Amino acid sequence: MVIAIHGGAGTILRSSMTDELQAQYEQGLNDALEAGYTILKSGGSSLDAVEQAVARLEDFPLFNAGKGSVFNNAGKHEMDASIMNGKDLSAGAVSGVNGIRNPIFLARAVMDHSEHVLLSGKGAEAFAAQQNIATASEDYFYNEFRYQQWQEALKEDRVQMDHSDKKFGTVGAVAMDKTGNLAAATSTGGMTNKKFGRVGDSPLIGAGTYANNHTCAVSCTGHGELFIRAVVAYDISCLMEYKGLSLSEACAIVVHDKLKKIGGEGGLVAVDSKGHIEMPFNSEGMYRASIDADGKKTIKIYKD
Amino acid sequence: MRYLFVFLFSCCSYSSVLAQNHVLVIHGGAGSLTPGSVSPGKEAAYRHGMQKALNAGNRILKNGGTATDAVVAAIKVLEDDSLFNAGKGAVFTAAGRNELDASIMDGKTLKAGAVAGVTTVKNPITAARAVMDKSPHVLMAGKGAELFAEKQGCTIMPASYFRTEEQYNTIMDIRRAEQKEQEQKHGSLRQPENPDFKYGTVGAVALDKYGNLAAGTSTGGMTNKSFGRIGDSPIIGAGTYANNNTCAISCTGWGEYFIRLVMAKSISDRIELAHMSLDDAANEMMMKRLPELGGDGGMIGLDRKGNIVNYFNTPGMFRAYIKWNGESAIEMYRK
Repeated sequence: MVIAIHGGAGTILRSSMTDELQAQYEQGLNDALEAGYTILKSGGSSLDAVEQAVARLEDFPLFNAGKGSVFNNAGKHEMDASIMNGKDLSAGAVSGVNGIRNPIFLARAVMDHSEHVLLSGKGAEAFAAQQNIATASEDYFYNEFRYQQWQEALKEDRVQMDHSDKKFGTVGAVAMDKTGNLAAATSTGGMTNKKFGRVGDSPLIGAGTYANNHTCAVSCTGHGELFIRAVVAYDISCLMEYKGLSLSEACAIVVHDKLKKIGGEGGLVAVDSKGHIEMPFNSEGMYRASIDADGKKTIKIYKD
Repeated sequence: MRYLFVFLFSCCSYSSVLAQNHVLVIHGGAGSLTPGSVSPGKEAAYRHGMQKALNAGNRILKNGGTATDAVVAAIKVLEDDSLFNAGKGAVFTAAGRNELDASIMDGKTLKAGAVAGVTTVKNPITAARAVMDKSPHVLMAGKGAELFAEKQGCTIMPASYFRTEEQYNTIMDIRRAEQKEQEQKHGSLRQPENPDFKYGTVGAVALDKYGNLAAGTSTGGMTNKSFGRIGDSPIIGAGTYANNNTCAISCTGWGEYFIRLVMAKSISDRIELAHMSLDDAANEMMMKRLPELGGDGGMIGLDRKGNIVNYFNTPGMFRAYIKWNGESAIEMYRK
């Protein structure tokens, strides 16, 4: 059993990071990692593990998902999430939901309790109410730092990636459980000051999230539009299935070659059916953590 | 002299590029179509609608227009035709609205645009095109997408424009049936018991004289859909995909399965990575993988050599093509 998680990729500079802040990020990653790993250790499914790990990342205010979501142009929090089960290729996703405490729980409910894969906006919120998914008030999502980010972006009339530096705020998790099943989950608060109901790659099966027991489980973070066009998560799986590449070879081609060629900045976390972990990114850094098949834990932010 | 040289040079390169043969393929949805299930008058109307769409797209290809322009032109005709479930004639959601999705992809640049859940745009395919050409985004949804489309000059229509009696009656029939078994299944959706189309969606794929491929898809979704359900049509890689190195694909069917299989991209990847032919790749995905998972529907595909495929595991699918040499066919039933 293995698990890998991420809290977004981008220009994460040491110069703008304090020891205290770094410790907080590492603590956030560690808590989510342990939440997922605990489930795996007790014989739980990879699906439950990625769902819980992502929920913990959503609860952590420094990552752009759930509680820490950025403000859109209308001053709201519009969140996307998706989850996929590698065992039967079942999947669930939501886009543009407001006031849902943990969008990943709603994505899971779409997968388990509806005939659909993707629900959006008000309709998805109505489904959440029917499924008794926990909501939260605007206060819960309010964050002074995020609010200031939005005010700055509003003033300059620009759409902004997460944070004032170029960072793709998204969280995600992939895991393999004791029975060898793979699963992937992703959640995001989108882009600061985003307009026009823009949807990124996070809620799109194949683009931001993909899992298939025959190949791998992948959760992405990056410049969403380019990840959609390149159908990134599924591309990794195809390179393994149709070309016979290893997970590491497939990740290298997609992240360091194909994505780079089209200017697609970002990264991903992935596990294959043998329990190999890859956490590649072509940006300055990526908040990431994993526990491998030998139980070895890794928590990293920068390239080294 | 210099001008003459440039002129001659461009003539040469132009004519060599023009050697490419152009092709347009369209579909109008897959469903339980069997001979005799549609009245002769209606069958003629379906054929006429498809012929008009072929003409609109082919005119562009013939005159040296791009595959992307041809795809938009053909889909616009199908959207405007109330017989097909896209644009005017779209099915009703459980809330009694028409919620439209569309997407387009340019195989030359891998650029793409899509809209989901729009209710006011006359031709959603033009909104998808605007997202591709005039925004930094790929997918826009709901009110925001409508606002953007309007700003970009897409024609906006009142809700009454999309409402057709036939589609409205379908939802009322389903409503009545539902009242009996209410509350049994949360979040449940029923296939429309419409003899004509189970999966109403329209789409087009084209190859232009310059050897470029494009694909587009537009739909009103599923009758009685609720909860802001989005199917495969606006999702790049699922319902629509185009790549000059491989093929252009537009799908129609039970969208959830097409999303989970990443259908359109999967066919492309089988060609690119497993070196399969378009026909073998599409056959394997549509006739093996899709039914294995429990889904059904259809697709059209086209590669750079002008090879055309269509596969459906429903009884019928509205489909048609026209080639550079005038060869053309319009079909509805299984052969």
